[in-house]
Amino acid sequence: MFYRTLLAASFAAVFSSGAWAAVSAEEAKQLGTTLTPTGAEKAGNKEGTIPAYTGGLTTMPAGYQKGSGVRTDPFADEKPRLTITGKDAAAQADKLTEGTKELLKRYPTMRVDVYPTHRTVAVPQRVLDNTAKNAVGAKTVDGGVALENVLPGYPFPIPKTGSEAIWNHLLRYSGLGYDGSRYQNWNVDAAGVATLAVEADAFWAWPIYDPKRTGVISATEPYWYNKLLYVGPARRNGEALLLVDAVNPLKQPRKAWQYLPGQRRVKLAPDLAYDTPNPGAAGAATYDDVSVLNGAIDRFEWKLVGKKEMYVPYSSYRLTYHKTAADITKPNHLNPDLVRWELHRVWVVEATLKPEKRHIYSKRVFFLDEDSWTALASDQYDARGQLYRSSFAFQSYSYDVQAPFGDTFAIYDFSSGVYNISGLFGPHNGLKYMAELPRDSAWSPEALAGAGLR
Amino acid sequence: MRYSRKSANGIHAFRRRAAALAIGSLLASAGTAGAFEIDTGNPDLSLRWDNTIRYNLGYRAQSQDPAILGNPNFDDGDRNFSNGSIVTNRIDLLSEFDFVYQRRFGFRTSYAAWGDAAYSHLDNTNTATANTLVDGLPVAGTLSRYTKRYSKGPSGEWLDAFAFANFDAGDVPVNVKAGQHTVFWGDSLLLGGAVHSVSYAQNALDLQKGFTTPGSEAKELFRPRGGITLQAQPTRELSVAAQWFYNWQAVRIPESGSYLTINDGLNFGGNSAIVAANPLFGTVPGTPALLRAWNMQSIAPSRYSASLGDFGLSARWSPAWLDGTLGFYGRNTTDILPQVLLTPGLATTLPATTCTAIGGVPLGGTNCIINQNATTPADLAKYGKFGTYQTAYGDNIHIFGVTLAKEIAGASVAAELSYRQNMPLQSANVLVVPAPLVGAFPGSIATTSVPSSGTPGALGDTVHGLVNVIQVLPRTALFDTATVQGELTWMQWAKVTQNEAVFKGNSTYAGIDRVSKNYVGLAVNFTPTWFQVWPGVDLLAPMTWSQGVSGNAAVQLGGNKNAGNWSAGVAADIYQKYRAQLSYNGYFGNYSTTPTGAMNVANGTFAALSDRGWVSLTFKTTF
Repeated sequence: MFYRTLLAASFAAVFSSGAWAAVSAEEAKQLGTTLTPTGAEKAGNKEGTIPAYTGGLTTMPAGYQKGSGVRTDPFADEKPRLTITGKDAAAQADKLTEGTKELLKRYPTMRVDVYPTHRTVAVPQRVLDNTAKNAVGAKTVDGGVALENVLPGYPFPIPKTGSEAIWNHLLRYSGLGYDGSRYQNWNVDAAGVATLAVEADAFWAWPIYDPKRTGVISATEPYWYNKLLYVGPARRNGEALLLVDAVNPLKQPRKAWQYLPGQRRVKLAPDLAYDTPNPGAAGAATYDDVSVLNGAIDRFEWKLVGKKEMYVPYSSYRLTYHKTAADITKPNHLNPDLVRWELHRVWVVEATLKPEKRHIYSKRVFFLDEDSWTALASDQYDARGQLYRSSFAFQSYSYDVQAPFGDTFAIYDFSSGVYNISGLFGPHNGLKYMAELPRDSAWSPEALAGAGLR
Repeated sequence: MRYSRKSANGIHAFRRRAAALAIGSLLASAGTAGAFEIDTGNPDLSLRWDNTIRYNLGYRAQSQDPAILGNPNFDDGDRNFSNGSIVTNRIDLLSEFDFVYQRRFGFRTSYAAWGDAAYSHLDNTNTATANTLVDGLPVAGTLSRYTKRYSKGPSGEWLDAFAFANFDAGDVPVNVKAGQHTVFWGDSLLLGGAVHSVSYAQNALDLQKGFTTPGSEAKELFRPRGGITLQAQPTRELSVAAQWFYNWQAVRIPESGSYLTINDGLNFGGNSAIVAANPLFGTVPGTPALLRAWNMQSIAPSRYSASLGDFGLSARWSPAWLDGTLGFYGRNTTDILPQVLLTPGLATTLPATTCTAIGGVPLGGTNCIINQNATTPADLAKYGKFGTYQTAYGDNIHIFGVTLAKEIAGASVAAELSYRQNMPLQSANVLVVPAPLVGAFPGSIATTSVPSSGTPGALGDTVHGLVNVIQVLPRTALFDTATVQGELTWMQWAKVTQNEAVFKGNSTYAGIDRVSKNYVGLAVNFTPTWFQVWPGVDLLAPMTWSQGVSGNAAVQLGGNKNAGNWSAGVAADIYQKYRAQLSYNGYFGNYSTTPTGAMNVANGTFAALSDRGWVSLTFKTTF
């Protein structure tokens, strides 16, 4: 009888109108008890290599100057507890992403320095409160590509499907916004020559996380404002880009405007999304590869594979805030001396290209941090099923504003030998956050035209 | 820098990478990231100096067309560069300096300099048809002073020179720019569209640079203009702007004597226009074989004037329901393209009695000097001076338009519709004759009625429209990515409001360039890209095509049927810093011929350049 009701319940779930049953109130009670408020396992692991979650990094490290955009490494004195090179890769295979293994296999100079694990992530209470409400209230619709009844917080702290898990990444909390801090993106070609691809002032904002904004988020509401004022390479000085992404890119596609120097007006840009190559990455990345994954997810089927303990880049203060880009952009791969890896539990989410859709990646595997839901790594496979590219996000916790930062990211293209590293804030004055959102008109294309200098 | 050799993936790949290594080390060490950012130590202050250098080498790939050589007013540029000669050997430098305080206030200035060694020696030896005058007499293979400055150099000019401020008026952000600058309105995309846009004549265009220097940045082609632009954004969805000018400039065309001369008599560098055979040739020693009209002071606004009368207002509205932007524009402007007045001094069919009756000087037979301000018997004999001509620029042109920008099917689409009044139309030369002769020449004006501003040629009301599309294509089997730009332009003349007699669309005009009621033009740019073909090197294949598809436009430079230009080539983008491009540039169009086979009337500017195909090699970098 028990089985029959269970079977009936599962049939009911399958034949319901596409919206998977939300988490039960019972399950949701785990948040804050056995699970952290964002849905991670609170306890440490058996081996002791992953500690229990104790509320994240709540103190600022000594040596950090309050108000500075350069965040000092809270764990600067630590030494690696484990070093992995090509010959050890096989022994550690189950804890390394395919991309990491490929790099270790190809390059004797590649090294994974594993440091002690610190679960640094903590987000503001209001985000956690909304997350708890979302646990029972939020749902995906339209086969997982749209959302309903989501408050500004993580939508699915206890995900049941791959789509739900990836929505946590897409709507993750990264603070309120970046206040025009200058960053660099570099391409390193197959011959090992590093080229400055982009140098720009980043005005980014996530308006749904404005403390003054309460209530359920709507599909067409802007999720991400991205205003970039280019200063480099020199020939791009004066260009600007404004990107507006909605919560649901299928209901409201990405809007982008380019500012044209010499004419001082903006032109609506075509849809820069999906697998259109990102010209700033020397063809090594698509537009939806930015930040490991961004934009619409409708071309893929999403499967929640499960949870694994893996070595992933973490607390990457040394990389994001390093002063000299040339130290980072070594031939073939990032300088291993500046990349910190830790063992963390990650959700593995697999995306398979729908047969009727088109994309250069036939499969993508994402590894989401259990604490912050940021996609920390991904492996991308081409139409033949071969490993084509791999991405890594270099997350560090911005302890002064209580927000995880994950917008330093790299992508390695294994067929061309090119890699791209984006979001280096060290060469200039670090990363400063907005204390409050600017007025709404600041995010309009006409504001871009009015303020244009060149 | 250290480089690692990749583990061998095949001999060929290794060799390619080794070669690239060698070039790579040379170029990579030559240029570091970033321009000259002057560090003041004050985080509020930003001083930036960028320089762009471009080198162009071009050679003539198409032979001179005897028909075009046969027309004395279109042959000088053609003859100056014989088959297979170097047509440009030019260095351009663009230097830009920005001073910005707190991202809110500051000023900007830019300077362009150039020099072209190809103009050191010119091949034309045909004095008889030369339009350039030295001391009143034609000289072949020489440039006028104006042409020499802009085609040969070395010379330079200030482009931008303006101050700006961003501030709040209450809750409304306001931006002001004052000084010499460019703000281009509307949604046109390519240069052809700019002629039919609401923004027409907002800024003069440097067509000389645009036609002859492939790879010119847009920021060099829109000529900065002295004025004040104010932009305010009262709400998120609405922004308004106002513009007022105190400076006027004409379009800069490839000047008389340059390789792509549009007309030997134009514009500021054109000294004379050839009119007819000289009846005194052979009888008066030293007199030229052909009669010429001399270029006189143009009827144009003064360069700087507080009462120029050029201004504009615009509103751009992006309501949520539209998911796009609507623009509304109203402007008053002076034209940037001229019409031509011709003042004959000599008439060859006037009997002596009629000649004296109108106050002229009979010369014997039926020759008569009808206007002694235009020529004198002495000038006629010595220089073959027929009379004078001058350019005139229409003013007080009203332009009203609506624009729409929207994303459709993932592509960026924009459209414009505008209406113009007092718009100068394609006209035959307006003759300026003594009052008693006005009746004999339809459309002519009396010598006493030459206006001090505006133009006496044909004016009318016109309607213009355009639609353009920009799309970026994802990877296909043929390319890694590609950019497509297309623009369709249309215009119609609604009515003629002045001097229909000289309008080239009236019932009697029968030239090949007869204006049609409607005109449609199309331009397409297609640039496929292949990333990292060699390490650090992206390859592109830029292709462009532009032509009039149907009809002849009623406005200058508006387009003619089957006339246009095209280019195709390959370019390499190296380390996102250096660009090299090899292209073929061609021009085409139809012309009518005289019974002897010389070109009579060109249907469109490009028809007269249809033998000027050339190959260009360009190098460009910004540092």
